[in-house]
Amino acid sequence: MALISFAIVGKNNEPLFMKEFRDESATDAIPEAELFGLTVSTGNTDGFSKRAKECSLRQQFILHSALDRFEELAGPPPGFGWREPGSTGTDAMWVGLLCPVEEMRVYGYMSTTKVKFLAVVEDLMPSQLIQHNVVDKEVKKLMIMIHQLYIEYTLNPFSKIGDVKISSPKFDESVLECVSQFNKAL
Amino acid sequence: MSKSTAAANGHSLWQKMPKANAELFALTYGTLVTELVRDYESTEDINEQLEKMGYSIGVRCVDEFLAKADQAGMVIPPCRAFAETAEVLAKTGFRMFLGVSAEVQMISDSSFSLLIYENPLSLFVELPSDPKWKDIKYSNLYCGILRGSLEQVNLRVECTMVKDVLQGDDVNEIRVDLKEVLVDGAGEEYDEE
Repeated sequence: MALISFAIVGKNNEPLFMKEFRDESATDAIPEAELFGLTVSTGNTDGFSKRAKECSLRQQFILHSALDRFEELAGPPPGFGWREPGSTGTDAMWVGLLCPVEEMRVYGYMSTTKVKFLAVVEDLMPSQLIQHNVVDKEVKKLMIMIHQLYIEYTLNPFSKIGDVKISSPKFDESVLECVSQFNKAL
Repeated sequence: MSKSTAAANGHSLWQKMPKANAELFALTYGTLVTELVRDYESTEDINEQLEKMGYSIGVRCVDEFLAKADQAGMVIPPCRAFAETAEVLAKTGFRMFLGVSAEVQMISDSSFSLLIYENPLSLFVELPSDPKWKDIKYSNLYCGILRGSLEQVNLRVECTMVKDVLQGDDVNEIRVDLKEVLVDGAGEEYDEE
């Protein structure tokens, strides 16, 4: 019951942060490079291939398609259609399950400034005893924590905001910590 | 002036000072530094500008410090040794204006280090990992403030930021060296002939 990948997308749907947390060697998936007929690189030490490994194409595809669901749920302007009337703060920002994909579930969270946070979580095995709403609550807590980290990132006077990718080692580390906390809680 | 009275004075003066939002303060300073980065090319220039700004602040701060202390009924006697000055600066001065206490580490009779653990100026700040940022002294304002305020009480000092949390160290350290004890003078025109 683990978090597979996480993405932060800006208000014009530009990607700000995408990270995959699953160890690729643990899955039996064919390396993507082979699927496209390219040679598989063995040493991933140069900057480009390291970045590419940070979020595999498959995860990026899943996250991208989940974005459409956000648009659907938003509804007519002002575009916060999923909200219960009268909810405020982080409750209002929580969208919930966007869509189930194969053996994964994609959850969404959108801030008032239309910054979207998406999480792809491994689906529950029928043998596991925990219920879906427990998982939902944990994902919501994770979203709130990462939203807080994002806010602290934007408060740094040296961080570039807009349609620029988030590049901050402190942010990366803290997100990793939140994710491992989430994985432990389930 | 004993250490505990300096700390106690600092604490009560801090209570009396009007407060500002810490985030607003840190963000304003952050914008100031980014503006300087845009205006100046070399890191030495940026550090120098920050120090100059600190100097003008320091020159004004010391009067406010002495006046407020007087109003509060505290007695801040003239320091008999440089070590006393260090204690007053760290425990009373810093506490009054910033709300954080600094620690003093005496190096010799005429120099000491101030160790600041919590820096209110660098809340949320993370320096970019570009190598050109390695020499930026983000909190150089403090060095200017110390130089300015001590000059008003006839102590000419040189202050430098030795360690910086933003550059990876575990504490902010400001080294203060006493260069000269200035003599009050009325100026050359009044020299007795």
